[in-house]
Amino acid sequence: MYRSNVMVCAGTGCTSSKSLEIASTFEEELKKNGLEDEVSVVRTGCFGLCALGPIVIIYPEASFYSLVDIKDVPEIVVEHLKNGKPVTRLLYDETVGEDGYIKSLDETEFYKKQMRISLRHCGVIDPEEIKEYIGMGGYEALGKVLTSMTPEETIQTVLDSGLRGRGGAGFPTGLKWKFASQSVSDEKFVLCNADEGDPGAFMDRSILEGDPHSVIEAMSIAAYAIGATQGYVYVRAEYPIAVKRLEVALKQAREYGLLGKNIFGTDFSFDIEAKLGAGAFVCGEETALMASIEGLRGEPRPRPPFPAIKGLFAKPTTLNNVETYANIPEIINRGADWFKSIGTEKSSGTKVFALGGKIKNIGLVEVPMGTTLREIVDEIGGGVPDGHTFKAAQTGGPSGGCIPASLIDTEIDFDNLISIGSMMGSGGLIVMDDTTCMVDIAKFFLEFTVEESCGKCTPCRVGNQRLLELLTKVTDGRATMEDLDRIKELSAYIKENSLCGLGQTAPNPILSTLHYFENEYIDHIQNHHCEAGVCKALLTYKIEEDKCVGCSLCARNCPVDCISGEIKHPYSIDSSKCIKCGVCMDKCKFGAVVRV
Amino acid sequence: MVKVGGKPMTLEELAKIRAEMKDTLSVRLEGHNQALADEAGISNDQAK
Repeated sequence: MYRSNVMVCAGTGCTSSKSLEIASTFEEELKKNGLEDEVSVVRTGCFGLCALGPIVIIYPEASFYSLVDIKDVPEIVVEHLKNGKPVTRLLYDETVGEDGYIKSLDETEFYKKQMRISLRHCGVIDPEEIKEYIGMGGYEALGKVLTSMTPEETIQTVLDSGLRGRGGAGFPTGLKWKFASQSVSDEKFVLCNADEGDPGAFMDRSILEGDPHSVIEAMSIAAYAIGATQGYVYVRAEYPIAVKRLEVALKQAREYGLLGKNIFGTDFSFDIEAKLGAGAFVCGEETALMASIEGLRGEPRPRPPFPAIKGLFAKPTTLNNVETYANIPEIINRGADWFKSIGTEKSSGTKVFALGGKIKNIGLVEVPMGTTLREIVDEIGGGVPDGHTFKAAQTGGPSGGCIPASLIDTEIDFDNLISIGSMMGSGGLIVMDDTTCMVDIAKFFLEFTVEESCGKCTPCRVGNQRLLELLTKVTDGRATMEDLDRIKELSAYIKENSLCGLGQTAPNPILSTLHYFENEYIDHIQNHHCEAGVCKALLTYKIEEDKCVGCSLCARNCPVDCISGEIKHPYSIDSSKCIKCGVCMDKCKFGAVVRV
Repeated sequence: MVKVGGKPMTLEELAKIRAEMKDTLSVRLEGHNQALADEAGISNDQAK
């Protein structure tokens, strides 16, 4: 037994900041100090507070080292692990009390309102060591259902828990399983959707990176429940660490006989294969995903028939996303009532959000359903930085909508979000401040959708392109109020007539911003004015003569040489050449350059 | 369709692994365990 564990985040975020080199340096320094038999280094999944990465947590005292640099490692090893004195100046400042006492992580604003169910093992275990997962109670839920529960009882437990799919629409998971179980076929499939495509969302990636066995165990439970013998995890190739850890976990599960024939000595046999996707957003749609696994072009097909009747290879299939599956073992082990007691009446359990945008604590958070947006943004997220004010939050990515500041006390769950014109989606939560133009945000998401449309149906392929052209007229100051009516009319048509969820939800960011921020659209159209100062076509930079001292700093930094003048005399900008990059304004030390 | 896996594990074997891992994992399970930290000789004083 090691007296201390050095937990190094080896998720994608921290890895990109050299956390793997930091882990290796810890091992080297421990050896130099003769501590290699007393202290172990564990490479884990994500701790959540990505903004402070690379993160190292040392147990048993849970000292939280943030923004760790390789050169800090020798000092931490000598001072903390050899001499027994944590290096306070390198600790996350919120964990150090006024008296110098190191606080528990659970006492910090970021963690204290969180409840980790899906992320329960992320940052706690080595995801490439199956024994650590088993040590935490892993595969006990699978053993329980195989040896003491019928498939019907298993489905009923999931139904009773109230678990709803975390991938977007929030369909009851138990009901999905029930439909698939009722289909009669010689072969059925269980699929995991790890094709996480929403901009800013990375919770599924983090679960696969930090706790892949929880997904494997849950898929096995689903397979037992519906009578499947083969599963596939459809994961994007853009997630190399997640793919690698999943492959390692699958191999270990087979070696331990937890995948394969006669699992736990029963008649149940099941195996899982990882299928890599090429990153098309539409392949997150269930029928397109199945087409891609079949080797066909990733395009959706009309429903019905639904996958529970005719899915992969035309066989009954159930499909859930990574986060949904990660809840299953806990529901089996702790019971439906336990899960149902968390969250709201119609949305039980927790939800993981990827916090991003204009917020201090960028990262992954898991909170009970019903937590307010204010708690997530102001308390857990640490609020909007740099003195700016909260303007809105976007949930649901390109399919979702904006929640304005006036609704910041909304309790977040599936139904509340839909009632205010947004949706849960997979859990991306992008915070926007007063420097954000809501028309530009709607345009950003529509550009994404146009790029990702598979082109199979006309409303999505052509309609969204026309919609984007209309929005561009608004941001360029060329639109009329009639164009605004056309935007509304076309949005409704696209929603009504597109083939799949991608097209049906593509206008949501526009409709949502129109609903809450129509004044900004009108300001762009009628006044040719962008209050946030984002839409370049509506901006002009000029130099105020009474403030300009003629230092020439603006002219020397202008990338297109459109600023001229004489030293110690006011300079001027040639608007016909200006590309509105704003460098002059950033560089001026006298506030002489203004944006109008 | 099912590939040849290892020998099926029994529930007893699963429980045995869990028991074996108890000590290894206990160090990090308490989150902030000053009692264990004291045993390990870790002070909660600031490093000078």
